[in-house]
Amino acid sequence: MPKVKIADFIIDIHNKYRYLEKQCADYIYDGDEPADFTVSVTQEEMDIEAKEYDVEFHPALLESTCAYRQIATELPQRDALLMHGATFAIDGKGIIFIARSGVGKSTHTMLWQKLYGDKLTIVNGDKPIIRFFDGVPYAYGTPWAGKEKLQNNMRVQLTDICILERGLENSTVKVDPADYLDQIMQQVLRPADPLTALKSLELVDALSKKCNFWNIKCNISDEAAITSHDAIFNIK
Amino acid sequence: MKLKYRFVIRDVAGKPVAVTIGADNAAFNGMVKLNDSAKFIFEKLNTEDVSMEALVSAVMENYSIDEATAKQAVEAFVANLRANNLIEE
Repeated sequence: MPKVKIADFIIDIHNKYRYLEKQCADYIYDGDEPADFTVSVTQEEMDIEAKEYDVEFHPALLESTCAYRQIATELPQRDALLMHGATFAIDGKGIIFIARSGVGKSTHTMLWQKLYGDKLTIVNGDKPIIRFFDGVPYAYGTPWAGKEKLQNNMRVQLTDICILERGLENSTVKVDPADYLDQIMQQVLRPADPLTALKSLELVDALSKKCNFWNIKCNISDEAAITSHDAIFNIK
Repeated sequence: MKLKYRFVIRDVAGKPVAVTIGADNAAFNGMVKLNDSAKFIFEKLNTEDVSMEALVSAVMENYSIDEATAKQAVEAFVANLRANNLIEE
């Protein structure tokens, strides 16, 4: 397949299945610059990946998942990291919702879309790449965007990281990231290599200094989204 | 004794944290949050096989504290690590 440009990295993916090329259609690179790095998934990696699931996935999907993991592993040494969360741009802010699986990240994002959809653009609904330039973090759309496949080939400066939890009452409070390290670290890929792992911690530390952190307790009503929106935008 | 897994340790958001590396990521999918003195002990256990006595001496020297205080701190922290199945005797 042709080279792709994702998070402003030129990547040469040596794929076996057509699915990856189709998936990366919005990110094809037709320039002459050499690739920053190459991705090539082995059968062994796919076999290991397949064992992670109770259901059987088509090899093309396994190849895609493994390819993104390889990309993610290349990122920290290049001042970038993969973060699991729903990310969007709205009124000059870049916001990511992170949460434990099943908390309702997608639901809360959909509520924001419903209420503020005319000014909100999804960057990546599931797994954006966060890349630093001169110490400033930017969230990028990528072809890997979860079940709903919501993504745009764009970037936005990441300004706000929101840790979502279910609550009967809605509340949004600005918090110290030091008190939410478990929840934050859980949403970042854990590299196996020591230097990459250290670099990854360094980047999370940089995020802790550059972004606002919020704890959003929410139910599934419109009021949940209004509460978090108004707190983040300081609307009294 | 030493740590059961290999970790990297770094301050994140002003707090020392340790995460596993290599194949240990699958065995221990967690993160250890430390304070400054715990970080000192944890770093020792992460790099060498040390006895309780050696740990107590190192803490006494590093923090200029008496043996009883150092012993109490080391024993409490090691007990915590043991309870979380992180120590290999």
